[in-house]
Amino acid sequence: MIRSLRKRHLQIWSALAVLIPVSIVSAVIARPKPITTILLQPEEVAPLPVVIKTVERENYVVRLRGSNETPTQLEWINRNILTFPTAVIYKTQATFSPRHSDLIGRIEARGTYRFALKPDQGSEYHFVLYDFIHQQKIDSINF
Amino acid sequence: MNKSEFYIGWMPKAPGGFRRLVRKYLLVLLPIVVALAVAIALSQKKFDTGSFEFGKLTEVKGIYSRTPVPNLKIVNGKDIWGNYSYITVPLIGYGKHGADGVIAEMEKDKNKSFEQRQLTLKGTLLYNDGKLLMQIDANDKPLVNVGDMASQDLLPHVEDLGIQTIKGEIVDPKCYFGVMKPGQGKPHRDCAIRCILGGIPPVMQVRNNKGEANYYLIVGSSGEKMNEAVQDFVAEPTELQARVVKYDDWVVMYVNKEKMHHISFFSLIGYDTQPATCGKKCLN
Amino acid sequence: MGTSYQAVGWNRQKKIYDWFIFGFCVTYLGIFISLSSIFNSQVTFETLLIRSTSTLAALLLHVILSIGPLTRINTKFLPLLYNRRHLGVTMFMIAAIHGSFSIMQFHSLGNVNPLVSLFTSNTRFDSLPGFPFQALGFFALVIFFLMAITSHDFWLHNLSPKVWKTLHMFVYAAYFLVVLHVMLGVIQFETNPMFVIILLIGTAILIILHLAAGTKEVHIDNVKFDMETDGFVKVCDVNDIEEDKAKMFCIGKERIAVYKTQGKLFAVNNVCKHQNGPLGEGKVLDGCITCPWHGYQYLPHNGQSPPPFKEKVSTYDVMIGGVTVWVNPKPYPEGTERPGATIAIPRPVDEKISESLILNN
Repeated sequence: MIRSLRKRHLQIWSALAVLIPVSIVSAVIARPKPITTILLQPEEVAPLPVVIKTVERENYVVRLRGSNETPTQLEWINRNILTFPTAVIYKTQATFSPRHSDLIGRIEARGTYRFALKPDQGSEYHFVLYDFIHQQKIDSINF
Repeated sequence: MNKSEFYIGWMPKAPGGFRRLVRKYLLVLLPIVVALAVAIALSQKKFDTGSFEFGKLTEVKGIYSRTPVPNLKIVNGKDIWGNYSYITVPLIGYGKHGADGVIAEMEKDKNKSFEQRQLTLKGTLLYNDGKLLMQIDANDKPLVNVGDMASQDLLPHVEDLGIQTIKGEIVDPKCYFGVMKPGQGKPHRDCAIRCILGGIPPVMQVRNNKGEANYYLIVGSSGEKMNEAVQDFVAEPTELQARVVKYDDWVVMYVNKEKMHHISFFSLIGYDTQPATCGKKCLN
Repeated sequence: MGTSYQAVGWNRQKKIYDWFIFGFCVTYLGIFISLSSIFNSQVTFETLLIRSTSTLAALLLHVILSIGPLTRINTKFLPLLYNRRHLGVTMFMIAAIHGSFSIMQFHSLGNVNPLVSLFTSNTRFDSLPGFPFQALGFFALVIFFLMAITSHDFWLHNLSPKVWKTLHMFVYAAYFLVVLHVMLGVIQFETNPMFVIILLIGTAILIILHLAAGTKEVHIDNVKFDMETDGFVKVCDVNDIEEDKAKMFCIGKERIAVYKTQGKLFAVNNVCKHQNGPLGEGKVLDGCITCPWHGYQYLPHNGQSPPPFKEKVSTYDVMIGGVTVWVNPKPYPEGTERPGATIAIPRPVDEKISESLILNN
């Protein structure tokens, strides 16, 4: 290496010794901070006071609620992101078929959904989570 | 160290001292390489769960509307209270394009407007976090059937939520809900801009402090396209003032173009500081 | 020492070198891709390709840039320096996979040409977090490309060493562009501090190595030589120089290498005509001064390469006064024969005593 090149190397690296750390630190400081806000969906529906039954799964918590011991509200807390095109809830008898089951409602993004149920004096409640685009059953919740 | 050792690269074998040092160097470098691979791989953020059904065409039937963005409303019967259950599926085109061109061609071909008509379309689904979109590609011959006008009770249910200031990140829904990992943020910014400028409707992703998200469609204050207007705001924290409308199962923001702001902490030229504003006036 | 274009002349050292490069790259890619796929199951093939190649290229770049100063600090690192260009070309190819695939992924299938999109999509030149980082990476890749395609000696000679070296000095600009590309790109999204820590450690190592090596070398260059007689400068003692080796002195504009061989001292310009290697760190082999970088040779008495080779370096006058070595820093034209300075052979002790006895008697 020739003398002028040695000098040039030292100049360049003296400059980089300042520029690089300054650039790195500036870029980290400038990184946007996450912003949070109040979500508009799903609509806030007040929960009924009495929790009658609860089923916990990895992706959701499902509760039957009511003003008394009769369930008139289905609470569905969607904990994890849905990986299906659609997800609708049916209330069903022992054997499920969309045509002969009661459509309760649809869940979308993560959040808490509350659906009004018609009073039912039965002791067992069966719900199915169903994707009506691909016509496939996603899950079943039995109380 | 043997000072008489001399090395030139074309020697078949380097002298002992050189070999030993290089061997030590490689033995130090190998665990560093392994450690870096492990550290970098495991430090990455978890990628989102968007799905794009590559190579799979799905036929769906619904009511087409071009507002607020081209979409198909797929009805799934009525719930126990007699309300329609449906999902509104925005339509997008192939690649980084919107669906307007494909739909216009189909309408021209059939010589009728599809607005509020029952359509059966064939396309590729993409979905994530409760939102579903469909890509229609002219090469797939997406139009299966054009039906009658939809009944009046299936018109969109619209609810005005007033003027609001919303903060979030503008994303392109095709990449975010489908193909790209990540489909948001700075690494994806250029692609999102290209998609939005190609006609894919911009969407604002907003989050609460639990990490749950909502997605709002962005149009202009009169419902016009905002694709060019949002170019500089994509993939960074943005604040918009808009008339917010609940439009069936989507929330639509009718945005005031004058009230769009960056929320960056640091700008080379700060947008909202007085010196910058004065400086801009001087330059103009 | 050919100037015509010949493909890479493979020898055993090159093959071993290249196998190590291959092995390390495969190790890195294998671990990165496996762990990403296992622990981040939503990753796609495209993201794996983009991230594995980019991080490997960045790692290779740090290794490449460390070799130069390491060899200055300890010449035993020379085997790494000799085929450094293989590392450079490998790094470029991996970076090119990253760059071209990223352009395809993020800019193709749109409404404009991908290369036009690269420069026109993001126009936030007035924002640090929003800055168009992809363009920075593109320019770094262009520099690496130009370096890679000119890495053969053919280009060194045809562009001239000065132009070639100037082009290859742009590697430092490319390095800075890469740091910015990373910091203003993926690091704006990947907030785990591990990435910044790794990058800071990498840059710190390079900065420290370069400043240490550079300071040491510039210190040698700045040594002052005070004693002067008739244009000759006192440089050292005869015994300071090992047989068939040299010492270097920076008297005028450039270093001079003073070699001791065959009972004489010869002085030649320290800069090898091939790639400006330090002749003074070489050795006399088969009667020729041999450059330690690539083995180019020069005859000590005239600075010419042995036939049929044509390289020549400047020669200088050397004088010995007692045990003191004096060098005239005024160079002779390249290839000029100079007699050198004969090193007086010290007489045996008993001869001196006999002489003294005769004188006394």
